[in-house]
Order: sequence, then structure tokens, then C-alpha cells
Amino acid sequence: MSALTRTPATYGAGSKGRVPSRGTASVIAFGAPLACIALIALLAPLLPLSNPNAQVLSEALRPPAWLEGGDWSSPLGTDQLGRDVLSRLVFGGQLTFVIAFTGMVAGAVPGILLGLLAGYRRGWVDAVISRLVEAQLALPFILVAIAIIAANGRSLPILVAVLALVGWAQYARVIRAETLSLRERPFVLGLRCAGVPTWRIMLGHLLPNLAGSATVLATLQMGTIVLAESALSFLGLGVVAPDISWGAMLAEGREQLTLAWWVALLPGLAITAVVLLVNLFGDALRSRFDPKKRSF
Amino acid sequence: MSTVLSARSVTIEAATGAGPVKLVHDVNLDIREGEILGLIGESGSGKTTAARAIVGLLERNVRVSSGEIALRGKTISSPEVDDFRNVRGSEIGMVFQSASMSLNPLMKVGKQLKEVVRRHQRHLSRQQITERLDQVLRQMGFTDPARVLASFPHQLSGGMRQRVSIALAVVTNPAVVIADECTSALDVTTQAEVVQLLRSLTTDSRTAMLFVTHDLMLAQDLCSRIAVMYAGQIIETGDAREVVSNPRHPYTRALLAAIPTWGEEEIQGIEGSPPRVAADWQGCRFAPRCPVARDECTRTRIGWTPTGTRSGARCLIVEEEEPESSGSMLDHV
Repeated sequence: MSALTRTPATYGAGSKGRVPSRGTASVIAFGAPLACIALIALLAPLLPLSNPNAQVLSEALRPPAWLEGGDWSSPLGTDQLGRDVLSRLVFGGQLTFVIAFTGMVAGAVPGILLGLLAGYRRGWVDAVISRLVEAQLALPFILVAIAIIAANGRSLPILVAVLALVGWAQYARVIRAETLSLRERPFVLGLRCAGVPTWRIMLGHLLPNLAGSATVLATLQMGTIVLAESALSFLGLGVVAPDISWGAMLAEGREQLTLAWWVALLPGLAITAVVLLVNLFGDALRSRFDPKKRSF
Repeated sequence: MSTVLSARSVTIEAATGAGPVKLVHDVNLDIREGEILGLIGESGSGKTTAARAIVGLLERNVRVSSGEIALRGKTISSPEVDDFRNVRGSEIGMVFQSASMSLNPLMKVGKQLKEVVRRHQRHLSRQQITERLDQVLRQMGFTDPARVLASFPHQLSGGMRQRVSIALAVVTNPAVVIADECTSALDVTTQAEVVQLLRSLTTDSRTAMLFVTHDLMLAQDLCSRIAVMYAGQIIETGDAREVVSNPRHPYTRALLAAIPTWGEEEIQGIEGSPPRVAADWQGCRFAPRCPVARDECTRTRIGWTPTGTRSGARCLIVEEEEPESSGSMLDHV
């Protein structure tokens, strides 16, 4: 028994003096600019910007400041109604982020819970949820969106609901698959064996173990949602004036593309940059949370 | 010594696309207080299924189709037992094979232990729970319980984790502990520690234990009694030393002969492979691989032959060797 009574010198050592890994560095590298953009958009009302909806028709289609005919009073130029493009971009970003975030949460919460339920309970519960997921994934998104918005009218809650409806199936599928493997782990069997109630196992033990995948998925979904919202607004199914989103700006600028490229190109660039950053951030998170790199 | 856990003619069936198949057939077991019963068998022999039936962790399509499992005389195998949840955990603890996966990687050891204690001993105060955890970890050979309680599983070594998972199984003072291959994944020195721990657990706390393993020599060393399983049936039981030194069933003999020894040129394997699971069968399941099998072995129904008060074998040859027996099925093990 002497071996049992030794004092192990090394426990707790893993948490000290940890050097940031390459994974962490890229999470920060992509996360920081994203956080900056989001912060600027969310703090828009506090920034010294002109009213994004103030129309000055005499100033219409003024080019960005660095071009001939530009003026620093509107650094990124004005649109066909003389509204300041910079100000509209920032305020539009605000709504874009709010929609992306609420749409993501509205899809993630039911998706994760249903996936957890399907994976853990299996049997008919799983069969029903899995068929629903497949049905959802088989339907083309734009078609579903057009049908719902045409039937219910355009409004922000409906837009968020449409985006959630499109997103939940992805979460449900991934979380179900992970739960299936997790539920066979001895620690889960041990909890069942110890008589811990099912809801407690699912929410208290499985959910924290799924948090990594869920976070990665949610991040990647944000990019998809920004794109989807832009597509819907571009088609005239999304945000209604006087609300501004990048997709709506893109749609309005389309007619002026040959005359004034900046009106459409700048929101387009903003969408591209944010979606790209979100995806890179999600990928960085994924390699950070990769189970193969975890040390247990 | 009273019997804590008993299984009477337990048959476990799995529903498959092609109808039900028997995973475990007509198993009888008895474990008394402070006794360690070794359940020996190769992969697929049904030993883990039998153990899981006891703790109620069978897969959805698997069920105990006949017979009964009883804990201190109370049936726990029927689905009507609604307080099964309270039985497991408080009366039965289970230790699993893989120590690294027996604990929730994201939760501190102390929190996991507390959760189980609180579930079953609600009357305990916070202070009493802390004392109990301290006590159980000291029993598991930890000199610094407070530090272990504040650690995450990945901060502990493999042997420590396995000792913590044993603590998790015994923290509620269960009457029976089911240990499913719980030393197989450990290296030899840690294995020795854990075996020592299990032994002291049964002698100090009078806990009954079912020790599932494929390691015959380990079972001989640790267990008081041994039951050998083959293709879903128990084919021999008896005193641990007796079974190893004087095996009666040809399969047990072949198993012992297959253990490599020093200076041996070639390891003696058993020809062929175990039969596939089936809905029903005739005769002895080992007969096709048995070196001493005769024609009748595959045709007649093989009964249980007691060879002592708590020992016996399922073999025609043993039946012939025991003159007084009549192939009675009663109360074996």
C-alpha cells in the first residue's frame, strides 16, 4: 500500500504557466476586428454621425471624400437621396448584428435542446426529430422565407423567426450526433447508475460537454445569417425603411451601380468582410475546441 | 453470511431485425456479504450484459426476458420496480473500465461526488457531506482529499482517476459494487493498487462485489469465487482457487492452458471461435471447439451438475464423473 500513500506532486500543474497556443492566437486575431466592428455598430447612436435617414437631395450621389467632387462632410459619399453612406453603414451594421445575433440565438436554443433530446432519448423521439431535421434541410431557404414573409408581412420578429427556422436544423443534427457518442461514455452511464435524473444529466452534464461544438456552430451560423438577411433584404423581403441593414442598402444601391458604385459596393464590402471574419473566427474556435487536442 | 445479490435463471434477450436473440441464458448467481465473485469470460460472452442488467443499464432493445435479479431478496429486474433509481446508486455502485472517461471532464471531482451523495442521502448537512467525502477519499488511499476534491479529472493520474471513480461508486455505502473490467486499462502497478483497494473494501465494509474480467489469474488472486461464462451461459462455478487448480469444464481447462507461461514455446489457443448469438440452440455451445466432445454433446440438453455445495459445471462429462448427481438445475452457484 505504500504506493497509495505517496503525495502526487504534480496535480494542478496543467493550469499554470500555460503558453497561449497557436489556436488561441488566431481566435484573438480574427475575434478582435470582429468585436471592433460590432462595437462600433452597437455604439452608433453615441458616435458623431449625421442622421442616417436625413435626406439632402441637393447633395445626392456625392462620391467619397478622396474622389473628385467628394467632401469630408460625408466621407464615404452619399446615396441617391443624399443620405450619408458612412452613417448608414454604421447604423445598418447595428441592425445587421442585432438580427444576426437574435436569429442565431433563436435557432440555437431550440436546435440544441432538440438535438440533445433526440440523441439522449433515442427511439421514437429521435425518429421524429430527425425526420423534422431532414425535412427542414430539404426545403430551399429562400422559398420558405418568401412563403412565410408573403403570408405574414414584413417585420423584424418574422424575419428573426424565419432565420431561426432555417438555422435550428443544423444545430439539432450536430448536437444529436455528439450526444449519441457522449451518452455512451462511462461517466454518463455512471450518473445513470447513480440514479441522477435524466434532465439533470442532460442539462448539467451533457450540455457543458457540448458547449464547444455549439459555440463553433453558432459562430459559423452568424456568418450564414448575415448573408441570409442580406439576401432577403436585397429581395425586398427583409428590413423595411426607415430601418437600415446592409442587405437593404445593397438593394437600394443596385440601380445606381453604373453611376455611383460606392452606394452598393461599400455595404457589399462590409458584408463580405464580416462574413469572412466570422467564418475565420469560427474555424479558429473549432481548432481550439477540437476534441483531439483536448487533454483528457 | 447473508446473500446480498442473487440472479435466478436470468435470460437476457436482444430484439433484432431478425427476431430476438439470447445474449445471456439461464444465469444463476449468488453473492454474499464481503464476497467477491469473479465473472470470467472472453469478449462477447455476455458478462458485461449480465452486469449491466443488474444495474439496469441495458440498451433499449435488450431486456431481461425471464428469471429474476434480487437485491436482499427484493426483485430489481422487473420494469415495474419504480424505485429502481433509488436502488441503483444507493444500494448498487458501478465502476467502469475506462478511468479517464468515468468522470465528467468539465466538473471538479468534489462536485461530482457531492451530487451523488446529495441524491441519496438528503438528510446529510453540508458539513456531513464534506466529512463523508473526506472519509471515502482517505479510504481510497488519498492523503490529501481536499486537493483531490478541488481538481478536475485531467489533473489527476490514471490510477488516481480510477480510485476516484471507485469512490464515486461506494460513496453512498452500497451493498453491492459491480466492477466491470475496472483494472484492465491500468498498468500493472496501478492495477495492483486498485486490486488491493477493492479487497480492503470488501473486508472492511463487508461490501459484496461482482468483479467482471477476462483475466483468470487476476480473478484467482482477488476473488473468493469464480463463475466462468461462455457464449451467454455460466459453464462453471466454484471456489476461486479450486476452479483454477482443478477445473472441471473443458472450456475452463482450455482457458487455463491458453495462459502463456515462462519458457513456453508456443501459446496454446483454443481452435475456432465462439458461436454467434442465436435465438435458440441445442446441446453444448462449446462442443464444436471442445477437444473431448462426443456426438451426444451437440444433441442432448446439457443440465447443471453440482460438484460441491456452491460449485458446479454445465457439461455431460462432469455429469458422468459425479455419480450422485442427477443433473439438477437447483440452486447452483
